[in-house]
Amino acid sequence: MILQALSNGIVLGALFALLGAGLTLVYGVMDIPNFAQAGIVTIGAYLMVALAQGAQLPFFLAVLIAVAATAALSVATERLAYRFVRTRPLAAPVVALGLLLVLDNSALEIWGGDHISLSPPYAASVLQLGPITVPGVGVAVILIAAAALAALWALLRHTKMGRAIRAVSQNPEAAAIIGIDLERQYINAFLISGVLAGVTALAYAPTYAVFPYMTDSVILNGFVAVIIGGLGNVWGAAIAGLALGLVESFGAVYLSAAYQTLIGFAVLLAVIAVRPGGLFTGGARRIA
Amino acid sequence: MTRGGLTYPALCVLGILLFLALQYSNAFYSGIIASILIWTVAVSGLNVVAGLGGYPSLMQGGFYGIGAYASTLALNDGLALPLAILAAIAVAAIAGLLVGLAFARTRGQYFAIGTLFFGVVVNLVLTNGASLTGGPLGLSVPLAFASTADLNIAIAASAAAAMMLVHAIGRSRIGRHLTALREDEDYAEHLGVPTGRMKLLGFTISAGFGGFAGFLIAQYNGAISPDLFNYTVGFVMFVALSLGGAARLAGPLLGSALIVGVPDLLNLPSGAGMLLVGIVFVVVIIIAPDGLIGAAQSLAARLRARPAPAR
Repeated sequence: MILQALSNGIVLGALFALLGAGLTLVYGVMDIPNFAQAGIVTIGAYLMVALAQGAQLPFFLAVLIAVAATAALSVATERLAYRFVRTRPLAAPVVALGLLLVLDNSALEIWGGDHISLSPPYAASVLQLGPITVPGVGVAVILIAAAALAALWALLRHTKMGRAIRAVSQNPEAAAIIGIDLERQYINAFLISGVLAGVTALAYAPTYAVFPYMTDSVILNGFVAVIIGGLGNVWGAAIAGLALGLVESFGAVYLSAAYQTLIGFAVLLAVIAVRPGGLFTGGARRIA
Repeated sequence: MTRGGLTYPALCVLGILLFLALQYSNAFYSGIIASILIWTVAVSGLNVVAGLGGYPSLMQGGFYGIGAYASTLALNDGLALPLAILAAIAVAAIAGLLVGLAFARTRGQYFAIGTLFFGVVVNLVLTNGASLTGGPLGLSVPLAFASTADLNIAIAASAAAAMMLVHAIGRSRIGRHLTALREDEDYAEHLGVPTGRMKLLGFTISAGFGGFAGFLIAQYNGAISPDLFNYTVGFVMFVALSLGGAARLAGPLLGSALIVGVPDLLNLPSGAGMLLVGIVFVVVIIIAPDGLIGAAQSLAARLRARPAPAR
């Protein structure tokens, strides 16, 4: 029982960590709570279904195309909408929610409201570890999240692009003074977060049903991870996401499965009450 | 908000006109107008905390739901109409106070995300607390008004009264303090504005309006269920306020008319309707930061300021 809750919690936590990392990256660079990320994950999931199961493309080619599309869509939200509200912090959440309405309802108009499923080649496999059963799609969530977060770490740490993004996140004025093109970094942050949205769709959709509002509530857990980790802190969000997944999973087993989301909210309130700025925030803002 | 002493008489006349529109339109239009007016009450309440105080609350839908259920449960217990109304307002206001206490130290976007979550929690409780709330199927509502005309009077009067109250609040000490919060919270505190207390008061007032609007929608619908108070309702209410014009008296009415009325009038399927709302909304926020009323005012000011053409 404990072991099963633990493994469920790690799967859930890996998903939250993935969502949180994409959200907090954009937050760090542009101070935008990117609710539209939920819509982009949803569109990515539908594209994977349409390309792999509708157009009969090989699964991994379908995933590749869908991830490229979510990256493009994410950059489009920045170019067409967010960049106009960059200096208006109160307009940002509102525009983000407006974009989410547009994306979700586009999915509804194009693909209809039915619940459909995405079946990757590994859907039928099961990992048996002694008494614990982990479905193949659950193993995939963990592996995908670990690989994506490791790649993100390498990108932010060791590439020129990553260093520029971190510089803008820590101090935009200083970054501009030393010659970093801010505009470029905004686009890069949305590009990376769009790729993460596609990867999240690949991890999430097979464990759940694909429908227009599939990501709307799970993204809130991503935001809890972002807030607990400290807005703009990628590692804080990843660790907080994992911890939140474990807390919710154990809560579902030992308290009440119906109120699993309530447990996340309770964690959020507890953290906000004690440290309004999140748990992992030091003096200066760091994203990696 | 607006200048001059004509605001109250104007709102009284507006209330009467709204009642006539409700009473003498056919069922289709009357239904749309009623929805718009009930939303106007809830969004006017939101105008206190979000418009005057500048706190982007996305949880007004939660208080709306709390008011609907509290008044219905009170009526089911055999309480009289005034007590049911009181229950709707009081339970929602207490919830607002508690949430306000919990979020007292959070600002800006932390606040927005936290309040969005509160909306989810309310929906979750309404869905799962089956013994009290009837679960996903909801409750049927005992109708407390003697006739449709009485209900229509109540709805039209409530919308006008809500705007009057927010106008009065905006011109009072509370309103000035909240506006100071919106402009610069730290500076306001430095000047001696009791920011913590003002915020709590603002949350409580806004929530009370939301609860009362919930009572109206329950009476109008005759049945309530959790999906009417989905967490998206809270953010669409915020959208309505921003679209109409935050901190402006008529902003809630205009915003509600656009958000609720236009998709209904065009008889769009809900997906296409919300798609349209989303696009229009993003465009308006980008090109008209102060909402449509603000945009109209600055356009008028620009026209007036233009020098008269030479003859």
